[in-house]
Amino acid sequence: MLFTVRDPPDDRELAAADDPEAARSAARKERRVEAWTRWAWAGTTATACLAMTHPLGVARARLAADVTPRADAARRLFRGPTDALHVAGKREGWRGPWRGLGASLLHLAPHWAAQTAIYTSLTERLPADTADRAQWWFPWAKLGCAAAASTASAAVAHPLDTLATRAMVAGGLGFRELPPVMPGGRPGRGTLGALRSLRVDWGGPGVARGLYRGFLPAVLRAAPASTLHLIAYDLFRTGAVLAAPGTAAAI
Amino acid sequence: MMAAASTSSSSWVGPLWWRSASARAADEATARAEAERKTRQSARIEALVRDPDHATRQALRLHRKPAGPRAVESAKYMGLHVLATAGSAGVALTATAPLARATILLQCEGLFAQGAASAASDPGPASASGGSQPTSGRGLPRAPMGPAHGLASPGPALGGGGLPPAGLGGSGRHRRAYSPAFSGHPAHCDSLVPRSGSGPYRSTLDALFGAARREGVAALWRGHGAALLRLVPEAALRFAIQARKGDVGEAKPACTACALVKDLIGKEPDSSDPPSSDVAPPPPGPVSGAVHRAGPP
Repeated sequence: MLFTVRDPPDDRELAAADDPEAARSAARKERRVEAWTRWAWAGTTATACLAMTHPLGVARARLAADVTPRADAARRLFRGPTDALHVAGKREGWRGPWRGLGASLLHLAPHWAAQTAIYTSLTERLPADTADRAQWWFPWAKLGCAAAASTASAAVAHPLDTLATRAMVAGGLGFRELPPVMPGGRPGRGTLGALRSLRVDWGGPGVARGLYRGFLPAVLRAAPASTLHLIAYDLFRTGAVLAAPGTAAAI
Repeated sequence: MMAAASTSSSSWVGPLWWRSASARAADEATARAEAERKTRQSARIEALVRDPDHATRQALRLHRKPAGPRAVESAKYMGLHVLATAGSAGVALTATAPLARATILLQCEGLFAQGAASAASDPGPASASGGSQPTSGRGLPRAPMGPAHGLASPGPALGGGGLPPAGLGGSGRHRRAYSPAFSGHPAHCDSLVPRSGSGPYRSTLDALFGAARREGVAALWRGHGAALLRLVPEAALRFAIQARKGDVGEAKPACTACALVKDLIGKEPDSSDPPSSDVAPPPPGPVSGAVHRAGPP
């Protein structure tokens, strides 16, 4: 027997026997719809995850932006992530830990979309047959695709990352408020406030330069981070499978 | 067919004629079922031969994971997923944390305005309202809720932080107040930090080594704990959302380590698992392997 037969043919398969061309195009369409559905669903998941864990992102940005020198260690702004969140809540109210959420979501959209689209389109160009997939270079090609996608998406979305980071940090203990969006108004908030602060700091034509501050380290870290992530994920997965056989499907 | 008939009537105890009639009926039923099965099989094989995409569709259906609740119900699965996802991301984040800190330092240039150290000795006019503010144990003013205009500021000599008082606002004052060249922090005023027209950090290396020199090498990982903490709820949320849809396990990395383990122990790491989308042998037929490209990573 050439094929392992598991199910009787359903109506669709019997119809496919009558009109192979129509069945083929229907299958293609079905695959495309499925891919787009999964893409949209994964995007929604990423958005929800980012939004729900945003306070920890705020704490991380504020801790990292603190440049108190070692000699003044006792005067550091925060003792740790929980302290940073506690202080943010005390000083700025419930909005404190959620500062810059809109800017972060704005950053996530192009970053995630670019990363996914580039990775998918690159891996689609890899050979898909068994012989090539078994070659030694295949995993490394896939890692290269992931690294390229991460680097490109980090580069594309960096200006929005700058705005998000500034929006998260500004107004916290020890950090300036963003300048008002309108002259003489209340302190600025979010993406527009961050953009205005860049304009004030760097001058009108210098906004682009301000937006791309930190571009080099952000782009440089993308490729090693994604490569390490995938290799470590693979090791963790292999370890879990060796430790508890039968659980690979969960990871 | 005879084997099936004898099996079906082997447990019957009764008169011979009755038993043989029963066996005959069973034989006929089995024969009918067998004929139907063969008809279905031949139709299926015809469909397979005539439709090249059939194998792909079949493989897609067979490789689809069972519905999500199975995984959701199992805390073990969730723990493994969180461990693998958050652990691997944590490794990558830890290794590249210095670069991430340098990025944030450069991005937030000019926002740091913790001038309390110099404000104590050199209170400027802008910090006059900060005198009666509650002070934390670390000597930092902890203003009550509201606009942080009361933050102690080093004064105009250092281009101090905070917004100018309402009514005095104007683009010129803002430009001075937010000038990144004078963030107001003592660390930006010492000789370690090279001054240039553009700001305290001349380059990425300057940000990295400057931070390491002023704050210590360990400070390159400052804030990293929060980034690590964030990974755990994120992985759990991702699992909870995607497992409900039955998509967990769809995204597989390149199987570098699997190949390594296979080489080391001379066999597949886990042959008892159902075939996953990455390590499974491709489906038979002329379109082998197309199933692996069915969706995004």
